[in-house]
Amino acid sequence: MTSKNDLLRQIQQFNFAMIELALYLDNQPDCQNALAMYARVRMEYLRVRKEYEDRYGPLSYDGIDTAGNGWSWLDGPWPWEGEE
Amino acid sequence: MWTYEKRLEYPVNIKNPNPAMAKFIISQVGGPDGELAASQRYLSQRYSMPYNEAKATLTDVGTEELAHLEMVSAIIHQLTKGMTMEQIKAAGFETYFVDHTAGVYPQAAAGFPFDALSFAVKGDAITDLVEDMAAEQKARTTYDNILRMVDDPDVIDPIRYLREREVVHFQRFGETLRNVQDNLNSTNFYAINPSFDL
Repeated sequence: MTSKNDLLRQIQQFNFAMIELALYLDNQPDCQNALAMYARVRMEYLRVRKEYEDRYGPLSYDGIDTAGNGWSWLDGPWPWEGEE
Repeated sequence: MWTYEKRLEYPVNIKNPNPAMAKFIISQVGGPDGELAASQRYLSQRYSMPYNEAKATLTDVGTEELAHLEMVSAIIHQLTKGMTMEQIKAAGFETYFVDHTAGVYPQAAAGFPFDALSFAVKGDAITDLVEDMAAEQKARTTYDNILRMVDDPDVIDPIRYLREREVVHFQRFGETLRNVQDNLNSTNFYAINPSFDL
């Protein structure tokens, strides 16, 4: 099983690729290469994000599962406190 | 980490340009009790909060303030889009127009630019939360003052919404403060700084 920090690192990597591609596409919106790459990275990002939230808790309001975990939004550590 | 959602928290659709209104509503963009100050106050203060409830509340309210900054900025944008030179002169808007044209610049109604001195980060949970409660009331009063001066229903509607959020945030910060105090010595809340000594 992928550890919490490993999954988080994958989210950061895929999301950084999305950020970088988005900035590029803002000025080159017709670049087919970048469009295809964005589509690929987005799928990976959504996959690892869901896996992380299902296993370790919400990254944003969208990921809060009150039925399973109550108000898990409060659970630490918060991002600025360093990783476990 | 933040991401942007391409929508307003609550709709802003103003049909008629009106620089006279923009002139004072801009205080809620960059003035002392404005939304930029609010967002930076809470998002800066959260790092030294000792309890998860306070960390969450400051994160969540601070994030909502960014959405309010966008709403007030949209109000300024729509009030100044398509304004005529006659309207600019009649409103005394030349002093803003000469530097910013119809751009949205964070400043107070009196003209001074946004200043981080309009908020504090004391690094003490009680001190900071008491400031936050005062800040919500000051912003509420500012929106009340704006509502005394505007007559366009397209402007009144989102301003009323923003005013109501100040009331809700005041209530939530009151609960946060109570939660912090419940963790302390009830006969002497000030024996320690809960952000530093715990």
